[in-house]
Amino acid sequence: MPANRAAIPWRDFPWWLVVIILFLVLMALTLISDPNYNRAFTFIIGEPRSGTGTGITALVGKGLTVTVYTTLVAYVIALVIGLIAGLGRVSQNFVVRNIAITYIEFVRGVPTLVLIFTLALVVIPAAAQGLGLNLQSIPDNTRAILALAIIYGAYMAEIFRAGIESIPKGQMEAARSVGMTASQGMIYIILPQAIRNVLPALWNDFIAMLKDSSLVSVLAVRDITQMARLYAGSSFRFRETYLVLTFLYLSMTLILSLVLRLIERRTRIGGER
Amino acid sequence: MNEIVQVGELDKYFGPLHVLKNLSLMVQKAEVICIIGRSGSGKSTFLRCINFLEQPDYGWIEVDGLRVPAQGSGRDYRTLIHNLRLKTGMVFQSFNLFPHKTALENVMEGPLTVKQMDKTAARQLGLFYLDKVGLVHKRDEYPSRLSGGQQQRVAIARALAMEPQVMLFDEPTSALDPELIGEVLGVMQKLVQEGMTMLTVTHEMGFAREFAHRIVYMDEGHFVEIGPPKQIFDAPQDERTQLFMNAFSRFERPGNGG
Repeated sequence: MPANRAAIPWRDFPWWLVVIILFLVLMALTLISDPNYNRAFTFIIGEPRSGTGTGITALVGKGLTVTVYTTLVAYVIALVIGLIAGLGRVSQNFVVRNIAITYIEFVRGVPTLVLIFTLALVVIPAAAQGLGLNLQSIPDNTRAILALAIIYGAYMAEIFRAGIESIPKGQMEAARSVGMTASQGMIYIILPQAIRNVLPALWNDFIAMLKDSSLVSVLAVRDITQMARLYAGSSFRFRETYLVLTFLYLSMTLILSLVLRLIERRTRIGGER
Repeated sequence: MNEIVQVGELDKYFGPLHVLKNLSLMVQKAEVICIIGRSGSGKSTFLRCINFLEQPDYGWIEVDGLRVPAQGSGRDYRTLIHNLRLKTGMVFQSFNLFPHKTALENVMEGPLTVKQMDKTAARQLGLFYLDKVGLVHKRDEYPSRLSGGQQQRVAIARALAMEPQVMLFDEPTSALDPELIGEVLGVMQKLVQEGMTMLTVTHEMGFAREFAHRIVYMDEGHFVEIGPPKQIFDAPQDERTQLFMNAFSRFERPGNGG
């Protein structure tokens, strides 16, 4: 529709994107030309596989690799927890349902930062002790990942619940009428549709998780935020350090949210009934 | 004994609302029953009780020798209901096709997951029933790309693929544009001629008059009158049936009306 295209007013142009990209380009140029920024940048993103920690920390090094690794692993675990809790949330069994709701409401009622402390320093050590594990064998990074996963699992449970409830009642009835059990109907009929409907929301949580992975720095996990704090603390170059850190998060989330737009467009086209 | 469906003293409540009142019905093999009545008379609920999509409160259902009491619990009872459902096929007013599956996959789904049939056999079966409803050429289309009439025909094929003893139709043409009703009724007519036992809730009086062996008129949860089409349409015994038929004939046959 060429006539329509020409009629797009200047207001619809994504000016916000121009501003953000301008900021990112300016920062990138500064990073290259200014040695103070360059040093901060190099320190923060760290070198992979050069860490001196133990266990997983040694494997993933520090800086950017830790941030990416923490986000990815915590996200996958959170997906599993969220799906299970989401199914529990819509369960006919009131015991299961109430356990799921308790977990979800508990997490949603406490600030994420506070929960990171509580889970990593209290709940997970207690659980480890209960299972007879040696606390020393669980590195900080693992505890941080588990804490993030447990927190995000609760939010994802609500996403899965919404997705499941968005599927018309007739779908389960049709599944039952051809002889499927309730769980077969859930697995083969409801969930495939529900998950497709919530893909944008799930991806959005991935972006949120990338940002919230910065909270693990309070557990001294050496992600880019922690590396920035270390660098700023020793060099007193706060401006350079935190501008670089902002640049890093913003460039990652911008790419991810552009992907989100693509996903949204595809699900909208594919999802019509 | 050729009775394939038996309903015994069925009662159903929605909260305080008594929607089905002591309903009993015997259906012969290859018999076609049309259930008519005003909306809210309980006819859809009655049909949905036969395969336990709605759970009745009292009474029992028997299909092909398998008797299931209205209430029960435990694994054995759930198996009983499951087995009863395998003997019935259902077609819904709103089609309820699985939108993430193609026409053929919709038809194959039951045989694959419920009967654990292997893929080749299920595909063969699926194509056979899609052909029966005249939609083999649409096998790879998703439901969103099919017309309402085509969707309902796929839904019929999906139900038939489980090879049920009896087909339940819950207002199969009520959600269709008028010009699409004919193709669905055509498929149903074919099933009648093949000797399928059918219970149909419908507003299609033409279909009921021509193909039903018996018509059930329902009002306020009662079977008010059960009889052959001639009786129900031309000489209703009950006053309530007369009123209902008069309301219809005024539109259906303006020349012959009262």
